Amino acid sequence: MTDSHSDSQTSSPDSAQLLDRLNLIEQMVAEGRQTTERHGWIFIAWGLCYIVATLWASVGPYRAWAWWVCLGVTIAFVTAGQIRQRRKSAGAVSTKSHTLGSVWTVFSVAIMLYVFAAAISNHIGGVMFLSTICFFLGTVNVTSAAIYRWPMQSIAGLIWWAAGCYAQFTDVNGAGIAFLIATFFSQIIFGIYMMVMERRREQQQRLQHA
Amino acid sequence: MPELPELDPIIHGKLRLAVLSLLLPLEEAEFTWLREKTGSTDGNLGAQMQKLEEAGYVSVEKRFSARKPQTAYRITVKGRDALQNYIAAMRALLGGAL
Repeated sequence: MTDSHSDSQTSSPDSAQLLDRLNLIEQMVAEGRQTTERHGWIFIAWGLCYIVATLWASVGPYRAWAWWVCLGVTIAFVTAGQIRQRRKSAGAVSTKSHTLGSVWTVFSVAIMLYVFAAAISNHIGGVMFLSTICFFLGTVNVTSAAIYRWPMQSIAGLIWWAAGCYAQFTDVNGAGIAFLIATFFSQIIFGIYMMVMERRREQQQRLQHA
Repeated sequence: MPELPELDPIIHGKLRLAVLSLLLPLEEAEFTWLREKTGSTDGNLGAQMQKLEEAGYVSVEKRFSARKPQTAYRITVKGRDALQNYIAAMRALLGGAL
């Protein structure tokens, strides 16, 4: 693409030239909106972390270490994956992905502070702890859904909120089971669905470029 | 007879229009990405970006990432308004052709 039209050439643009410009705007805006970002795997990774940590903390050896080890491994894995993904990305950041990234970063900081504070005060693993975690996860998912206007993610968020509400009316075992069920649907199943959608979108983008 | 609107000469250039449209849905984009998407040369794109920058339609940030220099561009509020006005003016000029 060259700038063959001089700056003074706007005096008598014909209809064909104007339509050509309008088409160019539409095409370029669509190009800018295209994204190669993948997030489905992150949901699955965190889902597996919650399930493994919960089961290990319930029945495994060295139970006190379960959450710390699982959280540490998952944080390292997800961070490394995201750095790799960012290096491979094409060099453009969409406004929506920047907004979403900020929301999830703030959420991650808040939840880590909450977990550390709960661990130090010895409140980790109780009914209120699990319920609050469910509400945290529900809120960030519903916020993402509102930004992306994506009803499927709203459902994932609502499942977390439902688990959080249920946990308030049951004992620790019941809250743990509610947490695991919400993890399965809102992290694992939703993550797989997201990966399928991301793959479809990439195929469509490839077809458009072909 | 109503007066026909004038088109902003800064935006009307094909490459400058393409770049502004690309930047519209983005938080920021690197120079190399814009060059790839527009299929232009370093020199031509650099010159057109300077014109957009001088008009206040884009802002530029030069930085280093993994020890490599990077030039990132963002569309400004002024640039966004100018592009919207340009589209409105084009629609007015085209009238019934749309």
